[in-house]
Amino acid sequence: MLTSVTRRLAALALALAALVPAAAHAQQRTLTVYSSLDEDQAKALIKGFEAKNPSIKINAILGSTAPIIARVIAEAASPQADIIMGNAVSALMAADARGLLLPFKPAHYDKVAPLMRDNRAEPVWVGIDAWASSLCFNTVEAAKKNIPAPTSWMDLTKPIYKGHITMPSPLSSGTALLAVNGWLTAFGEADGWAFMDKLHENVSQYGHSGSAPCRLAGSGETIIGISYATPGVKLINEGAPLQIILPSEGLGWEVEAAAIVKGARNLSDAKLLADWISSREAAEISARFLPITAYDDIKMLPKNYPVGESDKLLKMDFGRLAASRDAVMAEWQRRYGTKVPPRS
Amino acid sequence: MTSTSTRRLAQALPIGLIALLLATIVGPIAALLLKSLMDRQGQFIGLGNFARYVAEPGLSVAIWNSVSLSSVSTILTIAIAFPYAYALHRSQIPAKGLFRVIMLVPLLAPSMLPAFGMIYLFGNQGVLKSWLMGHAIYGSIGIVSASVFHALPHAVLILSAGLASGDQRIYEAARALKASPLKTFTNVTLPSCQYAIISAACVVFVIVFTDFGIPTVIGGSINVLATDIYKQVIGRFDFELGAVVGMLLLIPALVAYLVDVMARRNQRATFSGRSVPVEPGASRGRDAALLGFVVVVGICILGIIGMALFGSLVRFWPYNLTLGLHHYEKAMSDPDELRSLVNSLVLASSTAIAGTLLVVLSGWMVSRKVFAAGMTQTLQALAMVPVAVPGLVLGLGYVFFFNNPANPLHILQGSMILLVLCTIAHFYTVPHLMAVGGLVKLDRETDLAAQALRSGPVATGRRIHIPVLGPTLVDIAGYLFVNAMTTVSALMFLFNAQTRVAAVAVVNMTEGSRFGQATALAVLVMAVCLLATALQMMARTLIVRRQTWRRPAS
Repeated sequence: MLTSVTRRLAALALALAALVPAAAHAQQRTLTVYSSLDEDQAKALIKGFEAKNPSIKINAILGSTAPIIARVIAEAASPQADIIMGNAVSALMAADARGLLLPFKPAHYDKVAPLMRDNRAEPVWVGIDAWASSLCFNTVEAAKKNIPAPTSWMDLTKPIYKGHITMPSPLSSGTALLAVNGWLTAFGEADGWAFMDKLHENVSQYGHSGSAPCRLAGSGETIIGISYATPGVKLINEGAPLQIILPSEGLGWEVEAAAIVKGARNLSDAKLLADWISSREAAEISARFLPITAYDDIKMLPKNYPVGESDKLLKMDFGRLAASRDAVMAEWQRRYGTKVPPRS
Repeated sequence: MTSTSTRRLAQALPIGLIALLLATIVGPIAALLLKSLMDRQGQFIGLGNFARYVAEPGLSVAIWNSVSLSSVSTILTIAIAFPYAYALHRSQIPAKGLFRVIMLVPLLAPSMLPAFGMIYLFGNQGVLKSWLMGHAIYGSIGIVSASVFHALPHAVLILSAGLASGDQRIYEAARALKASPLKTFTNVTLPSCQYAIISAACVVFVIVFTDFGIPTVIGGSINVLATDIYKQVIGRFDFELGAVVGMLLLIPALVAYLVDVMARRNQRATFSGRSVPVEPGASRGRDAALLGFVVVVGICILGIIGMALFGSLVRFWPYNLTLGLHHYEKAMSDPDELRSLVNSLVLASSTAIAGTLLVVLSGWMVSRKVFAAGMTQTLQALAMVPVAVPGLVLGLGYVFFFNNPANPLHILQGSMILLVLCTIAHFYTVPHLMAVGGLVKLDRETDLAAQALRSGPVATGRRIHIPVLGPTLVDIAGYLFVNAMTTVSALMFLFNAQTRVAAVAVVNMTEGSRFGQATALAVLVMAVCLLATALQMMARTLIVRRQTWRRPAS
């Protein structure tokens, strides 16, 4: 009985294994791409590239910003990825500081908007799009509790929002760091921390994921989620009673960029993809998902995306922010990481 | 088989098994330990990283949270699991098979599903929100209740192994001595499964202590050690500090191992060659109370899962409650997601087959002590390690160990085989304890009888131990299958485009705000596991029915 069960299970496993296509087709070249762009955007870009280069098959690993870079760093001894097609520049810098990225100037690099490219003598990254922090505001739950929509960051410190705000912790989320850096830029160092002290009194929970506050707002678990626009747009398209608010003081923002991994096994194809991703054609694909792309003359607004994001971007000193990354995290942990925020 | 080749095989077995466990458990952890002793440039700096970590603010809070929440969860889990297992094995309540399946349900779904279910029930929009009397589910309450839910099946499985085999003759003696049912319980039943209780408590404590999924989803702002790893590694890319936390998380396992060794020293065989399986007598009061208890527990489990199932069918929780298969259609029309489900099946079947084989071997070697004491102890120690290792830590260790060109096993990188090895290693401890628990009760007499009949250890294993273990064996395969279907954390750094599994796809979908589809895929994973469990039950029943020797001759 037992052996026949085992035998049957083994046969099942073999049959299933046969269903999985072999790792690589004999003729086709493969390219391993890591990406933390929005899932739909990444898939559309991959489709676009493969259509232009039918002999190349992209094997993509999609994931959140930080886990993707953590993976690249962990694999340093024998890199598995050929190219990172889209990750936050601040996170890419962490990989660059460890010498894991290959300097490369893609074909259309000079045509890309200056803010959207590396600009060092030996550029490592080229921008794909930019994302900015924003608020996801649940209009239905707010109406039930008679809570007005905030219009500025400062509004969030008012007593009426106590216990109704959720944000990610900057210790584990790039989205939160985006917001914190925005506040430190908009209010200045001392006032920025003073603002966060007051905000802390109103925050009901600090989570780990950057899109989660928006999800929690979308399902009414919280009223305000400090997050970014893309998850809010998707939730609105699914039917969530959300309003995406771009606070008046300005938005912390960052570029999502592509970079080739040092030691890439398929270097020539990785360069081909880097060339293509810097093209106007690729930017037009990205523009279907986000309004700010590498070519600033492409003006498109995806459905339900908030108006005026690019006008509210703060003037940020990315070099200084990258240098102070660890210090900001340590200060945040000292102030808010050790005590439990008040219960809602 | 000639006797020399049998003997040679018998000698090669434990060495081969130890080598395999060294490569899949110790190697990766050692790679991580090395990491914790080095700086970013790979220079040896001794305990510098540990000093750096101790200086972190908030560490004492995280340690206190971890210890207190794990302790409370363990006590609650055992308090629920013991009567539940007792009802399944020592009473005449009806529908035992049904209650056995219900208890397995928490194992059958990716851990995010019950967390979603709890939020739908007790979250700010939850249908039973008022039950929390103004407290929020996000925080200690959420962590403890989700942890109990998550750890319950593990505890019931281990306790069941202890309660399943008892000796009816002792109970008859107790009745002859006119011992009260209570006295029989405290003087016979409890001591006979003392070892299982200690094992279960250790396993539960360690599971809760090292789990990072639950605090992430439902823990609010509560900091625990397990989430600290996530912060160090994912947030700060500080693999060295992450390795330090990983090492600290191994401490409870070390303690658990010592407790286990001490408990084993006092363990006497309670199941001998003349043992008669326990046939619980009728007792209306006891059975009514136990039935009431399992029904309440069962309703809680099904309620949480049922709520998540409902969530997968509604258009948009909680604002558009139109029912339909919308999310399922969308998720399954994507070839990548369909493939992830097939990959999960391949991973789970391979893990179940290879893992059961290995676990039975190690359980047999440890419990029957047929080999040198040193080997037995090494095996037992190795088998106890994985339960303490959080998936994220094990997965990282795998990357450092296998993704190293200097390692000859480097060729496995990126293959499904590596995922299978990692999953077996990750879930090794509980099935190993189940195998040991099932065999340790056979007394030496059976071995001596086998020796007298000149049956070698391998033949004895095949003819006596494997059949005795039969039903447990099926349970082990089922346990490995469902865990492989649902696990995420260890595979997070190991999968690639070809080997991405469904549970990882659920995480990706959640992050991508495809919440309904994520729930739907998680439900599909649960459906596969439910089917596997039904097969497991049928196989179990068939085996027990065919093994006529289990029934007393009448």
